[in-house]
Amino acid sequence: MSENPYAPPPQRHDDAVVPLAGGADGGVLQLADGDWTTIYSLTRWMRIVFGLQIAGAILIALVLAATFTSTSIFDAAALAPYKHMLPLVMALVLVMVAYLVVGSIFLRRSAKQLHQGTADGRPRLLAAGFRSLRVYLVIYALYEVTNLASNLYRAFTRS
Amino acid sequence: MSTRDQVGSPGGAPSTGIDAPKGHVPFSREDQETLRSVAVWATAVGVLSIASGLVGAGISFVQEGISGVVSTTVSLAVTALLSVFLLTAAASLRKVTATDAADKLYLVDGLRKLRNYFMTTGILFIVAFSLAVLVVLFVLTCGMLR
Repeated sequence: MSENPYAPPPQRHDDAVVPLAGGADGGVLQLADGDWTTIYSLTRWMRIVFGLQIAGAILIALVLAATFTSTSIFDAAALAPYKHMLPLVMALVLVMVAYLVVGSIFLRRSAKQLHQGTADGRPRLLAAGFRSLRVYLVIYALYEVTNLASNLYRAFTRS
Repeated sequence: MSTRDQVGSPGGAPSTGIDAPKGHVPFSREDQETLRSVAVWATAVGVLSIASGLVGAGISFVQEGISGVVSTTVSLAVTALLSVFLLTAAASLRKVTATDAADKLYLVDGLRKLRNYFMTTGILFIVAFSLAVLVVLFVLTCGMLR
């Protein structure tokens, strides 16, 4: 019988601290039912955002494919006023796709580890979830830096 | 030696946590470092989002004038809300590593704020997708009627 990693954990009493058999890290983490609900809700929303970001990446890929196959868009005269911004726009799109795809994968992994870490009461697995979340945040920060650079470039080229 | 020092050795296993004070989470030092760096990156993303939002709003205001005020204000408010969730989550996670007595309290508080952040992001994505689908349907319908 396969276990569902997202199934709610068995109910535990808040104050009862029971070491888990076979826990590699030895430490245990006990949470109240209300706290568990918060973490379950967090990981559910993380998985929803993962799905939506992947859908967004597919949508962007489709739009890009439609753009590159459309001859009218490649009209040199139409593109001429924006030609100087093309490298920045391409960089922004690439970073955005990396954020949506790679970031989402780590987001999903983080959700799974945070869920399992709290369900099993294993701080080390919880920390692994935070490590995956950190990768997501680093990629997101990279995207924000590119976005900021793009906005600043637009601002300075206008003035 | 503080309670924090007794909990975990660098790279080693933390204590069992059975005799740890109520509210204490038996993270190893390595895990605490992870939490601290997550807090740093969450702060960085929050600050960068606000900066990027402000610059973008300035450009929109200059380009579109008064007609762009509503969209710019909504966009800026959403960015600010998301950034506040991230910054407060980062502050709570930082407290997990900085204090001993109320680790669990701060950890759950940080996770709750992260939940608010991802919930708001998810709802925004759903609204954006719904609007995009409606626009596509509207364009297709107009095209078929002609």
